[in-house]
Amino acid sequence: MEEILNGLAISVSLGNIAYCFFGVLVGTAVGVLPGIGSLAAISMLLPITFYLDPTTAIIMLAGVYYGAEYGGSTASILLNLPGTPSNAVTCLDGYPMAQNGRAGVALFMTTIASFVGGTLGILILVAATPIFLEFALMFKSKEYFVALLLGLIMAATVSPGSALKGLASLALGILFGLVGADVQSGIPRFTFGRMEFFDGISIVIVAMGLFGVAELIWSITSNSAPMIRDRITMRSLLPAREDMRKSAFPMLRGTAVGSVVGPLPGAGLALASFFAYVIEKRVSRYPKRFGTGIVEGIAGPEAANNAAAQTAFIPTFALGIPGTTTTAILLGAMMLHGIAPGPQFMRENLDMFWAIVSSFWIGNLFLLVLNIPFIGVWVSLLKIPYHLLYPVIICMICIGVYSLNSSVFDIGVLLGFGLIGYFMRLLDISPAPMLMGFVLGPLLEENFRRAMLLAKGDFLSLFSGPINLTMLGLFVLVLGWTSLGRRRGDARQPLEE
Amino acid sequence: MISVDLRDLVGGIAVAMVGGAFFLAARNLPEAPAGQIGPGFVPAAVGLVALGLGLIIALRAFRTSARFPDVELRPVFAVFAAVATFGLLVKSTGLAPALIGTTTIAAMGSARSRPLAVAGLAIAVAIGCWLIFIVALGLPVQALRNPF
Repeated sequence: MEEILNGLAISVSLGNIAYCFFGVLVGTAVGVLPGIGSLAAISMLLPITFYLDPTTAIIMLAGVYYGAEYGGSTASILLNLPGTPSNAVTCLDGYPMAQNGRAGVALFMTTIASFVGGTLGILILVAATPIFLEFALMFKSKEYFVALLLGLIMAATVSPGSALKGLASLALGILFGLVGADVQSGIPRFTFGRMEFFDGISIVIVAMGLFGVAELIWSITSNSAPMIRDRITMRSLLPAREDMRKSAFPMLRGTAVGSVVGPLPGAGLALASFFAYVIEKRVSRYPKRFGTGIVEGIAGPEAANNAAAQTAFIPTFALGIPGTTTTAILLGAMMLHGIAPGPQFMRENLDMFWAIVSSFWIGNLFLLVLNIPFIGVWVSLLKIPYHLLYPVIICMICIGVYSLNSSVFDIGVLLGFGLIGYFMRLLDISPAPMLMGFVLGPLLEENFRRAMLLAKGDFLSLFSGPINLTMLGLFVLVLGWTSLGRRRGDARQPLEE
Repeated sequence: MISVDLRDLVGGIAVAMVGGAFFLAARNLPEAPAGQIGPGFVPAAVGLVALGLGLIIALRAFRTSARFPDVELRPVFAVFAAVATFGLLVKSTGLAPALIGTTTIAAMGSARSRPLAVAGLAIAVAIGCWLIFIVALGLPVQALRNPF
């Protein structure tokens, strides 16, 4: 109890509120703008946070993450162009609503749905973390190894696209993560004799190369000049009572879907909003009207991705295993600040946990204000032509990487990962598993070596014990369920119907 | 003419090559003391997995056929050249000229960029970043430097 109050006190300190606000502000902006995601934005801001207190740093960076989920729906509704991948489903009914002259209502309802999903997601995070923690306290290196391994494999195979390519992307990510001095023996590995590689490759460079540089190239060719017809007035935002009534249950169902999908490693927010849409369509009495601009089609998915954004923190905090790519980079940020999330972190830094979690809700309140009265600001941000925007983003990426060590060599590494990311997109290989593998690869290796030492070199015994067998069982269940779903309907098919 | 998914063929071979390179490099790492897992074990194992996965992807490419996607080279060159320009200039000329160069070259990637607007943007970026990163955040970089 004392820790909760301490945590609350930390999160409501003026500095932290200011950084939380800054975080959600940046998050909304990158969410609104197609062609730059929260992942790139977080890695750009990461070097700045080195000077901040770790709690403040995480409060701000997390704000960017969930803030982007609010902003992402704006472009979906107005331009039929998702601001972030998880808002793609919102295009289906959001854009038709805008064409029917109900853009304001759609913007209002997605914000409300985001707030409901986010708030309930935080409550679930608070309720479920202690349970996960109880579980995590029984973890030794053997259990960690199996949890990390299964989590990574799940992340690579559940995400959209070919499972084989996801696994390949993951394996390469683990290899890149192992570059640098070996923790146990101090022997440099794969460094080509360069001192710069001795401490390993910075996650900032990897993330900016794979997701910043590479994504920009794609957006330059695909983003045409935005055309926004409506002027969004305050009056046009107000929904009819009917809209509110119709959205209530979709929001709750969406939250439930998001809270189940969010904590699964690698499942991601896009999958949460997609499942929510499919479920809404299935339970609806008029499934044929989905896609013509009905409010149920936006309320469920928007609640789902925001609930998933919050609940993705459950395994991140309790086990140190991130639920999404973006929480993976937040985990990387915590590790850079000298914090290793997991049971020990929760025992020793409980006030920090509460400070971060309560800041989430403060951030959600800010987002409510930013997205309803100030929606006009974001709409005008969307009117900035992309060809004036992306050179600025490139400059930010360069400065962000250069500020790490003031090293030109790092810019070279950035170019390298930019090329890798570009070719991966060209060859239809998802870079998300690569980033997950990069962050978690070293942890996987460390726990594997420790567990093997304890098991006296008996590899198969690592997969024994009640916890590991339970995890294996769950793994098989989830994998079976998702691959069944994948076979029944390809990501696009149920949407087109 | 054999049908092949060129993307998967190229991607699979690339993955296999990187995995194989790591595998070979890892085998040159020193042995571990008895009873321990050495520094080369995990990278060698993962490298081998990558090699295998790459080969499977490349072989499966023959089951379908797809063309290599069309590549628009202009934005690709512009973005990479812009980043390289930053790396080349930032030490010798300082931050502001590097940013002007980066912005200008980056802007060439889009057919919609107009000279006057780009010049204005470049100057705005240089001044804005100088204010934010050097004046406000105290980044240890010189804003302007004589390269000679």
